[in-house]
Amino acid sequence: MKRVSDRNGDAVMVTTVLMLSIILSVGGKLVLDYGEIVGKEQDMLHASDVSDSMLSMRASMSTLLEAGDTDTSILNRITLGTYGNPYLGVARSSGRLVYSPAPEDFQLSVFLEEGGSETLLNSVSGSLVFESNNFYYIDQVITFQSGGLVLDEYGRCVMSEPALFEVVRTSSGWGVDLELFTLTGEHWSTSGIDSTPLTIGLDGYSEISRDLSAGQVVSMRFNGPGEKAWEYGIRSLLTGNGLIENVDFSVTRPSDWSSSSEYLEIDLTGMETVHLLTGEMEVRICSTC
Amino acid sequence: MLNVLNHGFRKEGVSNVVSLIMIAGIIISLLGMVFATYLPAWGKDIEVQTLNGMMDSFMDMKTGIDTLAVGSDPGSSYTTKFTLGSEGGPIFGFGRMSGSIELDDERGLVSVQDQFGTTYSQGRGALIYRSNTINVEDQFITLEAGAIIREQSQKAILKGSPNIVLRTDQDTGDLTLYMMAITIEGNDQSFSGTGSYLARTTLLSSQPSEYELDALTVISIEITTGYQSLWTDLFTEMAQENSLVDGVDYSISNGNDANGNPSVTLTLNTLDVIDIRTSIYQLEID
Repeated sequence: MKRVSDRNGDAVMVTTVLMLSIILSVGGKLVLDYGEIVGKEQDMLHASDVSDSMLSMRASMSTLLEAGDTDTSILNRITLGTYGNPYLGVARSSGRLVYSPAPEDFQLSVFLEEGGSETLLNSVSGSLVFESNNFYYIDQVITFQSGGLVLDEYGRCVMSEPALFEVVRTSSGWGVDLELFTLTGEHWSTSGIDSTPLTIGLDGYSEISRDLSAGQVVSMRFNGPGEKAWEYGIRSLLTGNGLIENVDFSVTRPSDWSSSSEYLEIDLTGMETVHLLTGEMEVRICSTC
Repeated sequence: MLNVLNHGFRKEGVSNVVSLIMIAGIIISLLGMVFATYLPAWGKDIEVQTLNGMMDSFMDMKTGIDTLAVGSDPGSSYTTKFTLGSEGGPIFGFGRMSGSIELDDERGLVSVQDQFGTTYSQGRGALIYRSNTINVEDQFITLEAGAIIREQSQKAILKGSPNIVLRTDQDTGDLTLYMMAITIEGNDQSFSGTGSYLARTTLLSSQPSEYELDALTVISIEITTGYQSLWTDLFTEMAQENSLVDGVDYSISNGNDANGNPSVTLTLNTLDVIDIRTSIYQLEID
């Protein structure tokens, strides 16, 4: 049998293969591009969700502290990751949550200074750190420190949510009202994707109120990761309330931010009153869950 | 004519048919792969996410219950959104699932009594979710006596701890029971489907009480539950954390309550103080 080629048939085959290649290329490109957009969006939404959960935890702490209720605990949750987009099978990211009551991870001490002597009013410590393990968006670290949220990305820290500090006008000056949280209990960590139930309890609390005389200075000293964020956060708070730097307050930076022996000091020089409400909070991960 | 016919058949036609068959083969292969692999995986993912969302809603509701009890005035409320199911994905609605949620104010009975029949506190009411899934095992989520319990494949795990704590004072050695007895009232109602419902929890009252017990008083905490094993484990863990001795300081028994429903009873022989908060809520689901 004589072999005969059909040029028209070859053309149909070539066209078909080309069309399939184009369709697959466009499809692949779409999945890659769209997947990245969806993935970044999922990762960013998740970071926002973690911040919201930490704020919800702070609200629970504040509720317990203001009620002085050391018997009741409040359930909270943090979602550690995201399942991503089910159709593209992308953007699945996880996270790690570390609870550390250690002062090395964060410490804030409030002193009353007068004429070269100083009195410790109160000191709080501990941090709750969430570290994301994102697939598309850059990794973020969100840290809860005494009610303030510090966001670390690209190696830079910002205070994404200020602590419960309030500067109020008094009859002839300023007053400062601080709600502080110190973390107690055992160190723990967990990782994964799902929601983690956390129980917030108040172990103890203290309240200090002082009327200050001229010459008395309220000194806040911060030590640990996130010091820079606290500097900008407190400065924004104070200047936003009309206080003037180097008149009503002053900032002394450490020469080495990473040094554990040096600290950031913010002195409030023109205060008439100081009020500290401090809660010893324990955040427990459900051991039987 | 020479171009058209050769040996009685048309070569262009043969090529086109071969191409068509090949294209059809490729398309069928792709569809087969999508049906066999991707659609079940997508469906499973959608169902798992829906069930996780439901668990988050239960936890959020418990956050509201705890928060209202501590720092709120009667009449304050907390609203939680419950999404019972999923409409499924865009392709054939894969992952479509439904569920039902039910308030049963006769379940989840909890009672604290002494051996003389004196009742210190009571609570009742349970919120129950039942899923109707296709690609994953069905789940049941129950909020009873302050605990959130998830059951799947007839195995129950605790997802949210109840507000029941035993604590030994390090200085005095006194053993104290801290507890919140929760009552969830409302019309017995059930909703099903794939849609979202809002559950408004309103605090009716929250009353703390403290009782100092003498050495002869024996306290029993009875919980009416279908999850006897889980509550037994939980009570055992609480007792062991306080170094209590089984049979001496405490005992745990499974039985039936006065209505014949299965229950678990923790009996504490050496309890010194009961610090209990009795909180009553109204739950409305719209």
